[in-house]
Amino acid sequence: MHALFIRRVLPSLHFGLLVLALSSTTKLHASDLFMKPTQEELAMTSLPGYPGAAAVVLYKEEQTKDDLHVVQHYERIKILTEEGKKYANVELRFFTAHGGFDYQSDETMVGDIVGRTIHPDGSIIPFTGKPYLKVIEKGSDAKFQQKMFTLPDVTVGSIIEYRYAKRFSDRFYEAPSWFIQNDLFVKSARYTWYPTAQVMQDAQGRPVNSISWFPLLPAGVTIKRTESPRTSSSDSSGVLYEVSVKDVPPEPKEEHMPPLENFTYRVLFNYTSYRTADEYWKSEGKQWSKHTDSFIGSSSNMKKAADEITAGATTEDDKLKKIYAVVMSMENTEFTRQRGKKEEKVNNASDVLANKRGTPTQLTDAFIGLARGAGLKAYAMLVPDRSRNIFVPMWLNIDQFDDEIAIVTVDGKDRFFDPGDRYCPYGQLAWQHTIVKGLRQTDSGTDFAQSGSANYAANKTARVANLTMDEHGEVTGKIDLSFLGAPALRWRHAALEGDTESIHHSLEKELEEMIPGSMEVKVTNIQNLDDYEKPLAVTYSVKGSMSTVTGKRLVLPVDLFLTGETATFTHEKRETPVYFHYPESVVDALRINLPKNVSIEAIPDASKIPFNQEGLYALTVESTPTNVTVRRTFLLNDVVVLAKDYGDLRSFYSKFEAKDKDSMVLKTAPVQTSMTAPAGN
Amino acid sequence: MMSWARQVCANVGRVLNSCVTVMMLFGLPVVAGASNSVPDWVRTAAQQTMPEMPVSTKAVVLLEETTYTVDSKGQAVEHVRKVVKILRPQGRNYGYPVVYFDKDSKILSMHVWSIDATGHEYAMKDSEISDFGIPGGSGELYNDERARVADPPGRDPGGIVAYEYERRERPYLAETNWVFQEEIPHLTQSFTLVLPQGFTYNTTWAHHPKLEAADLENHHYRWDMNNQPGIDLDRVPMSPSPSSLAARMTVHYSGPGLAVPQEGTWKGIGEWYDGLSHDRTVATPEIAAKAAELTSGKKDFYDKAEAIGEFVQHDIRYVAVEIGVGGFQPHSAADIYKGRYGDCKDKATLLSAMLSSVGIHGALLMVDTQRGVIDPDAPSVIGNHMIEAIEIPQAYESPKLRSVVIAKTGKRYLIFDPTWELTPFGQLESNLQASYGVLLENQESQVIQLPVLGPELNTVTRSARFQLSADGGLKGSVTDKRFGDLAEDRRKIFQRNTGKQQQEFMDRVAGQDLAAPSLTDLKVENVQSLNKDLTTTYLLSADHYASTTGPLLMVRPRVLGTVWLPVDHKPRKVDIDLEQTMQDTDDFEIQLPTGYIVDELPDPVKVDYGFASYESSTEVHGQSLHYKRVYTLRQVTLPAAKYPDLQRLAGVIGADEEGRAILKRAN
Repeated sequence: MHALFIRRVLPSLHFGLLVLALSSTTKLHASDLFMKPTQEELAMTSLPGYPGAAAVVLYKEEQTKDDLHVVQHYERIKILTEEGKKYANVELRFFTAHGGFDYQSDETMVGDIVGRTIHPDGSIIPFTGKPYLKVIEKGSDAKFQQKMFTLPDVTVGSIIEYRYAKRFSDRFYEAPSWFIQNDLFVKSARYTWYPTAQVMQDAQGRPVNSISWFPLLPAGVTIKRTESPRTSSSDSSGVLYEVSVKDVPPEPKEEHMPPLENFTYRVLFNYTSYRTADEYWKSEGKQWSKHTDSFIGSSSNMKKAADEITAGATTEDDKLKKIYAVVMSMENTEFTRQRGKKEEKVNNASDVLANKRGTPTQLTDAFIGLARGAGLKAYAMLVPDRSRNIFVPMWLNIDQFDDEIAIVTVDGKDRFFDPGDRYCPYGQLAWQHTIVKGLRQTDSGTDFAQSGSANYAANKTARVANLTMDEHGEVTGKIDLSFLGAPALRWRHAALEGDTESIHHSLEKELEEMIPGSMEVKVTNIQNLDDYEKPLAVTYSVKGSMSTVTGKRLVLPVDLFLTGETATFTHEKRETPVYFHYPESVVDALRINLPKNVSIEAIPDASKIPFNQEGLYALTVESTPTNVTVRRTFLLNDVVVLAKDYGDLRSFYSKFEAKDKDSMVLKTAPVQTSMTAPAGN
Repeated sequence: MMSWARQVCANVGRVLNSCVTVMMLFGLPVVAGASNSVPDWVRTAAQQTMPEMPVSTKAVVLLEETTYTVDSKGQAVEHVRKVVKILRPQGRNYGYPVVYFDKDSKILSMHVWSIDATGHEYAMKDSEISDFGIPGGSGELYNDERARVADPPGRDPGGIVAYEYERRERPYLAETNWVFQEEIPHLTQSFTLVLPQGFTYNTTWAHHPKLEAADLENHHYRWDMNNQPGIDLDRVPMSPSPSSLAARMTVHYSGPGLAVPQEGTWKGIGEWYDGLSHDRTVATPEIAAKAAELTSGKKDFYDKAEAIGEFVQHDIRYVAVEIGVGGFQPHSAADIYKGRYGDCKDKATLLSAMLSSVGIHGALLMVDTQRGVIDPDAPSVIGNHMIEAIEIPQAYESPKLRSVVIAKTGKRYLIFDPTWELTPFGQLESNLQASYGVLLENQESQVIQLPVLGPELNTVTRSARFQLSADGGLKGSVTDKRFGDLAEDRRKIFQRNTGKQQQEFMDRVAGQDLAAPSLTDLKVENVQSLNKDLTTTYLLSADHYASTTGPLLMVRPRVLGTVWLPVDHKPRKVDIDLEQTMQDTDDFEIQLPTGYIVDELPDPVKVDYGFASYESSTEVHGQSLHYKRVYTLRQVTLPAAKYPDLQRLAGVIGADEEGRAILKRAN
């Protein structure tokens, strides 16, 4: 991912550097700095509607004053439980850098720390200690530091409050980012920004003359903009942006949640040289595209390599398959180690081919370069990793994108490829890159685009057991697992991060966690670990007991592979949508060959449970005098299920997970033993 | 909450991982320039023939040479040369050279070289090596320990990473520890001690027989320790901590002018620590007043000690601030009391001060949270935690005295950890039981073994009454009572989480045993009262609990609760850490649906292996199914030879937990 957007901007050198703006030197008494607690605040013991809440933010203030190069913070927190005492430990991180250019030097500092603790009886214990300064990382040209302090004599029921200021280098202005919704309920908060009137430029030297913002605010809350006359002695623009909020709930946290971290309440400002979002994305996209094309290099450079690779291929598809196979054969340093400049140079895609390795983006660029070299139209596309976040076009920040995929026109049709995800099958995407909006290259520049999707059939797990039971109920036999699509990719990536020994061990653990602990498992064969176009196939030998024994019966789980299964959706209520990573299907088949002294007494009825039009569960059990065969199918084609449909989803899961707990009952007869010794021969 | 002897780094991997994590976040400087000035000692080590090693070996230390030089003022400098070969992809993390330092120790030089798998040689520049602060967490607000870390080229399978450093050691210790065994094997290693004239030394050894040094003359002494196998416990269930197995040698030295000789005895350790801590335990009038307030009206020793102990346990927040010798030395009791916060040694110090003001003697007790790390035969400052030993008056007896130790002096002590927030006063958390601690009583200092508490002090008792319907649905009420460490996790949940999170936690608990549970009317009692049962009651229902299979209705009598014994099927080589003594008692009654009779029940189970027993039965009382079981674990550790018994026990329990009662229609 190329970092192309910088929120921090410099005053324009054409207008000279700014005069150092000093903060107020007026000394204030502590009582002036802090709000007086109300009787209601002092007496508060819990937060209505949020039983057990650790603490509540009574008030939070964040003031950004550009002309002073400072952001002033004020927090008042009521401690409600023992857990809430942790908020008395405050850690404030900041970064300083010393580069060769003005825009590379950043002297951020945190200071002016004052604080106090107020007990429920109103007694005040001022913070008189000193903050500690810790260097988290120190390199040759940058330092990452942290100031930390703890407030004194904090008890359950205390109000803790503190102020601090973050000061920036006089060369910089930074538009604020107000993250309004966090882990605590906020009763009241106020955010203000006094932007500068200085004419500035960004790191690329472009004039910065606009302010943009991305707001996600509670209903009824707006950004208030007021303007007052400028004074000649101030750098302030006279403009004030302000947001005041009340009663903001904590950010939701639930199992199987979508990546909502980009969607908590917030206002993200930018100083920008663009007037509209469209202009921003066009310009930033153009820069990214140019940078990418520069790395890929000219098609003539890649042509020779492409010609060699595609020799003998007659169709576009065949050519691209050969190119894809070559890129897939290269080392993906995401799973190994990215080499430093001392070890190898990587200035362009040709270097990637020569080194036979690269980062995911470098490998994608090499693939695109080779495709172009083979005469195909090929484009790069920036995408988010939807395991972590979802792209928001209104937020003017190209750093939202995590990865790069490729689009190639094959036989007149655009197709998506993911050569940066080693062993992703040809023409498919890793699930993290499916059904997302991204920014792609086009023949005329860049544009937004939607990545491809896959249905349940593309992500399939098949589990087949063929076992033989002896007269004592012990089973031995073979289990075959096969993985297609996303499940296969997960295992192939695990193998890339380790070696043969570790992947054998991990696969054994995987099966051990499915089946009864009394069974011994050994991987006997792994097929197609490198052959990404075929299902990954794993064969195990197993032995042991899978049944519980009563006086005259054996009781077996209906599906051996679900012995370790626990309920998926245990909570009755739901606030957020349920998010599955990818559509999938799981197919189980289990055959147990029975000994002569064992017969079937009872088997579960067949079952078929649908979930809307998107999910299905089916179970059948068939028996003959010598064996019993179980077939189970589960498929789910949904990725997102809305909270309003949670009840139906939970009901679907509860029904089939209960069915999975069914048993097969076998009758046992005493083992016939011979009364006389065999005659021999 | 480990804030004590942070300079001891027996488990390099753990500390290293934190540094590596930081590097992943922020990256290291890009390596620039090139040089082929790899020293001959690196090349020689790299070229040696590798012996056969287990296939799981991730990396190997080819050479580690340590020279520890003490000058006439007692100031020591450690010089180390180390060469590591990476064997597997998972071994790359062993290729990060890491050297720790703080305010009182200084890295005088550090050089890093590497040879990649193809033989290409690299030398790193100083500017390519970064410093990292050690991330805190869990209340560790600040410590000044830092690490200098390099990310050398060629850090891949087949690659060699070598480094050499010189570090001026902390001035307040006359002890050094040579840990010559770690996760990966060591082929060639040595430790050389260089003392000035007039100085003497002695050594103690943990997890290894004592070896005499080779006298190299001129007060140079050398120990060689070659072909040490690694301690690879990655895949060993219920394993002891690697540090409790790692072989080490501790050197104590003394000489003219050296202020704090430690003599290589526990008494010496205690005297040294008394010099650091004695003045810190003084009770100020404010402290004495608080202690008097807490014990007002109390006459009994235990009651007084409990009141003060619980105050320090609950009202003094765990916050660690450690600078220089502050890694060892507590803050003054006055400062701790004023701020109402401190780390483990601070809390123990304030407890001593408060107790002393009401006429009770308390001594600090140095322990390690990993059982077996402190070796009674190897005096040293190794340990990572501080607790309290409260002297019990002569002839005082009370059934409340549980965690009691008798010292060699004949004095009895009640052992208590004021940092462990959820252990009842009078008890001791499981991970410290059966381990050793250093009773810091100045000239009476000694190593003591901490007691193993009985299973009846660490219990979970579930009782429930259910009704089963003919369609397999189950509903009823459940009471869950927990005491001791077994209550700790749930006390945390109910103390620290929101109501919604508490409900979700209990939903998940029910979901472990039931496919479609609905848990309502959740009530909890005694969350804060550590010396009472944590009692949880709730209503539980589950559709399809019993499965209809043909004409049969199958019911699992063990409705809730799983005994977790994570045994594997492999041969056992290391001892077994059972974690805790405990007793798990379940009593479930299931009212059967009308029209059904019991056709068959699971067989009763009764086994006793000495270290543990398990007894269960399912009976029919009228139209009810009655399941009872008791699982008792009596020891905290087991020798490896007992592993087959543990496997058998796990098998018996697993089969019983999955046993089914088989019902059929009466007609």
